[in-house]
Amino acid sequence: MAIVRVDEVSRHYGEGDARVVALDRVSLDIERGDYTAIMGPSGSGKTTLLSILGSMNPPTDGRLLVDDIDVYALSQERQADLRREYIGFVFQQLELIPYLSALENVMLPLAILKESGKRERALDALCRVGLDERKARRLPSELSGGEQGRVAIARAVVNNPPIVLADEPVGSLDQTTGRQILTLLRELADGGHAVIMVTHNPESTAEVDRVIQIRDGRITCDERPEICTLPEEEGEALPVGGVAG
Amino acid sequence: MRLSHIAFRNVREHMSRSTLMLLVIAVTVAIVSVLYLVTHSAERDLADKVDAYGANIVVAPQTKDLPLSYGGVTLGDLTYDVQPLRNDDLAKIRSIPNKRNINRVAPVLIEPVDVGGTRLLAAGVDWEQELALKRWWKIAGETPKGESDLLAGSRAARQLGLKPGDPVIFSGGTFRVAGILQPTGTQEDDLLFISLPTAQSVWGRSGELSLIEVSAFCSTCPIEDINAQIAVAIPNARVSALLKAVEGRRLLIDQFRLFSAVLSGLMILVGCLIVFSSTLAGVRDRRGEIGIFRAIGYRRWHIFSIILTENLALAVAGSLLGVAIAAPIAGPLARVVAGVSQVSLPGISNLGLAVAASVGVVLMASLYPAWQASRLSPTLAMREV
Ligand SMILES: Nc1ncnc2c1ncn2[C@@H]1O[C@H](COP(=O)(O)OP(=O)(O)OP(=O)(O)O)[C@@H](O)[C@H]1O
Ligand SMILES: [Mg+2]
Repeated sequence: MAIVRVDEVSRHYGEGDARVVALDRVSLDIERGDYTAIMGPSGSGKTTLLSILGSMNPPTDGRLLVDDIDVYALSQERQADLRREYIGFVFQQLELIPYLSALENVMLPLAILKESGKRERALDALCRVGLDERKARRLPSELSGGEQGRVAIARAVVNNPPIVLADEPVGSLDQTTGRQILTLLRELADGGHAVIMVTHNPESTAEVDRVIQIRDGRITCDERPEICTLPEEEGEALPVGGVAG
Repeated sequence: MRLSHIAFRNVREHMSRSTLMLLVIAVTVAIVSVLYLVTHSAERDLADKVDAYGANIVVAPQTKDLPLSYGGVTLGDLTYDVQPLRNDDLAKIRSIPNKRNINRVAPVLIEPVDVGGTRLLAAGVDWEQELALKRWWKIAGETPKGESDLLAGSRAARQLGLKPGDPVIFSGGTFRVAGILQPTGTQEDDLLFISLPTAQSVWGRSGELSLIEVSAFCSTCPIEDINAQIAVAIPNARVSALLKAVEGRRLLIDQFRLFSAVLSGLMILVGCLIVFSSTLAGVRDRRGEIGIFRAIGYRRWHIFSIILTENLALAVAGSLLGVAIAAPIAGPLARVVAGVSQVSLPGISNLGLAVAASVGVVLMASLYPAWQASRLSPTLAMREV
């Protein structure tokens, strides 16, 4: 059974003349171990879809099921709990807290828990992305872009959530470090996490299992990357679940 | 790592804002404490002075006829039929509504006596109350305290040729001169003081009193109120207030207290506004960060408590700093402003009170900004840059 099920989800912003349809009856399933890229032109609804998947942006219509739980039927506080248990975020611009050390940034999701061994868990997560204890003590500003990306990923997985969401995770990084981060995400998917990433760049999809193309709030292609990462003008012609290639 | 850790780090990170809040809290606490200490010291000083000035209320029987003067106060003529005061009346004075403002109640029984052919006035007094009330008395010899001790006024002693240790016989009793009262310039110089219970028994006037001297201090009510209350408690008595320099000073202190209260109130109000607005500005600046906390699963309550913890830390540190500033300033200021020599410094409990009060006020001022912060949306973390 899919860890994430998006069922006929629509999202409108604003009212009347100012009404924008950011998502229009989108449905999709995502399995554990899937490494998925969401692609599409600017303003197509990628971030909106990701925030709905992240249980922090209630859709106007439709349902989101995470592990068979109807997320937006829960109270706000229960939605927060669900985010903590099920979802790890890697934000655009990484969004590390500048006044906390790398280790403390990774411990953030654990700070509200009343259990011991938080430090060890955070160090372990940092170790898995290739950062040692010496680097862990540094502030984000004292780390390279690639290292900051690793810290952001460690923070996303420290709770061992089944789902990892990433919004343009390599947008701010150079090519080499960007590729390292993408490989780390690949490893997470191989380790059983469902990894969903938003990206503009077709090159970022080299290692993904699946690409979801959206345009004007609709899914225009949902296939293997070789099929869906055609230039956007041509992608227009492809039907959903395109048969070309 | 706990939430408080995040709060403390944030306080350190935003040094300029934290410092501003810390100083505002410290200055407010310092000014309010100084005003309180000066007012309080002035009141204490006044209470001491009331003792030093002696009685300010005299309770005497209603006169029906020829007056007899004592200490500027008219007493009933002893030869006439007057309803005397009694020992029970002391308790009545001690139980008036403003009883807490009564400092001393000193009963006196006066009787003319004949000492070896010399006619003098003798007064039976409660040694402890009398000596406490007449703090300016200087006694050569011992301080009288026993039942057969006698304290002789300076002129009476000279007239009778008394010195400490001498025996004196009158009214069928034998007394020992414990001490000689140095000249006071009042009628007291002509008196022989003995213990009240002894006086009442040798004169056969058990339970009777000629007058009662009262010293009262009331910083919040006029002395006339206390007068009126005593008059109600002992209807057969005549109660007179002796207007003293103390009264004028009391008015001055009352005005200073009012001024202090108004100024303190304004300071607290301004302090609250600054705490409120800078906390709110801090929340606005940190919208993205708070969005991240929400996105990674912090509940609203967690955000609320982070903001409150930050201000709580500042309130505790600020009020301690404020008290530390106030303590050395209060003394000199009390001397200059209020002419008070003895400044009562705050005890640990007052310190605790100052900290608790400022923490309470700061938390109140932080509630709305913290609530605003807790309502921020997690989608702020996904804003486009
Ligand atoms: N909070 C909002 N209020 C109003 N309109 C919004 C809001 N968020 C998004 N939109 C609109 O919804 C549409 C989809 O926005 P979204 O941010 O999901 O696009 P995107 O695919 O992430 O774009 P980009 O590639 O530029 O990040 C856009 O037209 C956008 O203007
Ligand atoms: Mg976007």
